Amino acid sequence: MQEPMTDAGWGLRMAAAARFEALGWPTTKLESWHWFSTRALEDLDLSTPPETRNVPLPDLPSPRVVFIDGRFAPHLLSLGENTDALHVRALSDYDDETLASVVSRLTQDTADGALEQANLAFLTGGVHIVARGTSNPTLHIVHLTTNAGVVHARTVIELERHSSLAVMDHHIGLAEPDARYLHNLVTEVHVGPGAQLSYAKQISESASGSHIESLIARLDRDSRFSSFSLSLAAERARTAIIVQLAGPGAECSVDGLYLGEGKSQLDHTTEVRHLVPHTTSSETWAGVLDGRSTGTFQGVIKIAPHAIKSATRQLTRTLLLSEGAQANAKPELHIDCDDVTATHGASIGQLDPLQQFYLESRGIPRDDARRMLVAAFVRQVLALAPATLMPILKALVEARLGGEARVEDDDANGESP
Amino acid sequence: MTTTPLLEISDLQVAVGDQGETPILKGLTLTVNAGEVHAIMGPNGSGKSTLAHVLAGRPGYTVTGGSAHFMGQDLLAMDAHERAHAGVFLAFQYPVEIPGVQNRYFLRAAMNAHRKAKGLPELDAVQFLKALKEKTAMVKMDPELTKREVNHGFSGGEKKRNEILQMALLEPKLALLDETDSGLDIDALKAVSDGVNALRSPDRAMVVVTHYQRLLDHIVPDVIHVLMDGRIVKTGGRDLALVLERQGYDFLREPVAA
Repeated sequence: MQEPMTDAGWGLRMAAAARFEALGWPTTKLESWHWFSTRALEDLDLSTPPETRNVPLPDLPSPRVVFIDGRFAPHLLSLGENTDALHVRALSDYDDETLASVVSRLTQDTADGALEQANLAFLTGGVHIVARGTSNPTLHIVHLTTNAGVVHARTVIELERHSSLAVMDHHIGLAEPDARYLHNLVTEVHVGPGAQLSYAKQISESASGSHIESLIARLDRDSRFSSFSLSLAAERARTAIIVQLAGPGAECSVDGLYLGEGKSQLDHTTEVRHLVPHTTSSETWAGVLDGRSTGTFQGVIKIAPHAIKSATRQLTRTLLLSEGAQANAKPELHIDCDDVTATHGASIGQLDPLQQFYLESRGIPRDDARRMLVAAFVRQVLALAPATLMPILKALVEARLGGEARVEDDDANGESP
Repeated sequence: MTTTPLLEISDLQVAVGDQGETPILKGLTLTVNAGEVHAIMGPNGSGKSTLAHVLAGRPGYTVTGGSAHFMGQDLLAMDAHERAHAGVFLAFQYPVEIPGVQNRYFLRAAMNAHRKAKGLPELDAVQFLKALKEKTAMVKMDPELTKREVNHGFSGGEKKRNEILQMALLEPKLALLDETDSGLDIDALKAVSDGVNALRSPDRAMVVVTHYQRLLDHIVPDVIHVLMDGRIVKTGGRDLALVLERQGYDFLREPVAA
């Protein structure tokens, strides 16, 4: 087991600690944190990582990078046949100077990003993944949390010119239901000219697990970044995704699905910045909220004054399954340029009682009918996920929804009657 | 030997509104036996569609009096899916679009729900496709429509044919056809009627709700009832439809008031 980083980047980390000290925890007075209070987490000791419990590990997919309780586990690293195309280094292997050149090139040195500073200050582990050429198949990054404490893991993903990579990032809680932990993560993504990154993330934290992540991506000319966030379980989870479209022809899709139940609080805050002309973005988010859960999507799209011929599309839909569930939706466009196309829409609704009656009138029991309709809602956004990652995401969603919630097409599909 | 009627409605009173303050059916009595086809005609707003939907178990209606029994069972006490399992089928006037649900997945789920209720094993893919092939041919429906999303983007005629396909697959004992002719051109009307006629059988009854006589040229009823202001005001044979076609409903209004 890798020890927490103690030496690497000492100066860098001291500076980050000082910044966090100065900025403090983000408050709900900040627009981007408006619906996500960290107050219930502020008594946690940020510098105390979890002790790793000896729990049985789930079957681990391959190729993979594994973190246990925020520490990179080199003995579980497996790159299979990707050794030429894919390079993975522990951040702890770098000297100060190299580390400074790899991390925090994108992070926010503002109150919104205070926890990004905390992540660096108290870093428990991190990796630097570099893709050269085409990597097959999907690289899995598996974060397992087994115990109470605070995890600060960081991943830097760098795609060199014309390379391509698919990443499935798993955040899985194996802790006891009453073990309070915070998973405070930063993912920095650099997509080089002409490169393509397909990225998906699942949040399946333990019942008392909280998850806060900043994913910050910068896209060069003619590159593409497709991301899909799947929030399935956590006491409270906040995913912030910031994408900088920094080269002409850059294109991103930032999509996601969140399924809330119990009292879970699932927050998604995105910001897409069109910094140069001829950049394209699209965002589709869907939430299904049951019990007393809260789901939030707020997305800002900023188009810079000179970013002509840019196009953006943003859509958010939420389905409320219970009276106690709550949805917040705030799509926002900041356009300082005339010559662009932009559309956006937001809706919050319930299952259509007429659709439900139609299914029931055909003999499908009420609960099965509900699950079919939820699955129908969900599959419309799942369909947008990167094709290589779709089977994984579908299986996760089906397992979570259960029963008749088939999101695959009928297995009789291939044959003609 | 006396047989229990398939459907026995007695003095049925139904209202809508949040507090059930708007009465629609005001004491409707109707008996339908197996093998019979009944037409229910009447002007707009007379309660025809309400009757069909109440019998199928649609929420939003308040039964304020009377009863409805299906094969001796209290129909109004059953959930919508239980009524379907018992053998009641409603062909919707406006079939509901369900984006995201593949039609044949829906059809199979419906068939298997019926089979499960009867204690039968579920159909596997091969058995299901065999049934689907047979019934799409019977109702002359393009099999490709079963691969699309339920009714989504279907034409009016395709939607109605999809209703009749469901009826053919689920083999109900009582089919309630709600304005099945609405929105159909004459060719589609004929095709849909042919499908319905193919499903007529001595142990299956149909209640055909329609505003216009023209449907009854194609689906010939045994009995015609005229529903006005929430009550059946006249019952007769086929000829009644022709009288109504000629004279309209107005000549029947007098007796209602009296």
